[in-house]
Amino acid sequence: MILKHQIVTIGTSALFLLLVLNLLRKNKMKEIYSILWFVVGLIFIVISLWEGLLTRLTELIGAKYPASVLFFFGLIFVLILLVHFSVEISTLRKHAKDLNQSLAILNNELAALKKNFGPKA
Amino acid sequence: MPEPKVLLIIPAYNEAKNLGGVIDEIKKEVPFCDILVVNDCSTDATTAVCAGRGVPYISTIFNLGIGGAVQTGYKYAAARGYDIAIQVDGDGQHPAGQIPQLIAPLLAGEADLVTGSRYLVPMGYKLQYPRFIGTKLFSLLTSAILGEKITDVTSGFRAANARTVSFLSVEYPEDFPDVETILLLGLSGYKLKEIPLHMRPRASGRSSINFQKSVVYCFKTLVSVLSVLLRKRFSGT
Repeated sequence: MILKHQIVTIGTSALFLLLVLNLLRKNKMKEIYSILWFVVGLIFIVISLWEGLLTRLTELIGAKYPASVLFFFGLIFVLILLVHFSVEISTLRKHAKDLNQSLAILNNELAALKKNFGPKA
Repeated sequence: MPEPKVLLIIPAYNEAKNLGGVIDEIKKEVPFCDILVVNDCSTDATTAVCAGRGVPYISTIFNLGIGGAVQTGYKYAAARGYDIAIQVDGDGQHPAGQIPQLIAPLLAGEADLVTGSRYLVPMGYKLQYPRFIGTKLFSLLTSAILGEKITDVTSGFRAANARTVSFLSVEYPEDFPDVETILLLGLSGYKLKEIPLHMRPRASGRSSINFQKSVVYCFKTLVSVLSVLLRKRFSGT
């Protein structure tokens, strides 16, 4: 029997999955991130449907409340993801800087070439 | 020995007021040097000042900050095969007349990077107190790490030979680069040397490092010192 709170959690997970699928369809995300979020959505659904899973996990690691177990793993996941994004942003910034510098130097060389060989304005 | 090709890199962000004087002084004092102004998205007449004096300039596409701007100059110097590249501030604090002294140790093969130091010999040059302490602290820290005496690690008046130029064109820190570059080069086996420098107060405008920024500066520099140490000491690169 599906309980009331399960309807809410399953509904939310389903909406989340739809959102990810839609983004994937529109090609708005790198595939690797789509897969990641898709898996996260699936885990949500599994946890919502299978009540015993979270309780078992709580007993297994000796925690008191299932909710805190959920928050613990959720927080760890989000933290790792944030670190990953910091790395990603740093890489992008470095690439942007290198492109900026190359383009600036090329612009300068192009202007010099135009001055020497280009058509007279 | 043929005349060395020397490039003066002047990073400029809204320095139109001081830049003209700097360029004129360089042309008068060291006419054998080429000049490159790196205009880091200035909104004033910086490029007009360069164009008016026939000085080549490079304009960045978006503002890179001092590190990225100076590195653009080093990349240019590396691509054009310059023997020596010298960093000069666009605010007129660095006396162009001292450039021959700055490059002499490079030409003699005594060093890979020569820095003009404000504290090597007491010159009566006074920084505002917080900056003085910061500079002293970081100089001591750098000296301790490198095991050689560095008196002025935050000086922006530096001359690099071709080997150093090609290193810096690849690896150059972005935000507060002065301490980090000295450490990077020192730990990578480059020979450093300091010569006494007579620095002047700014001609016009404010320095890029104001009081509020000093705190950020200290923090960021400490982090960068740590990151260089981790990179160089524990990764084997």
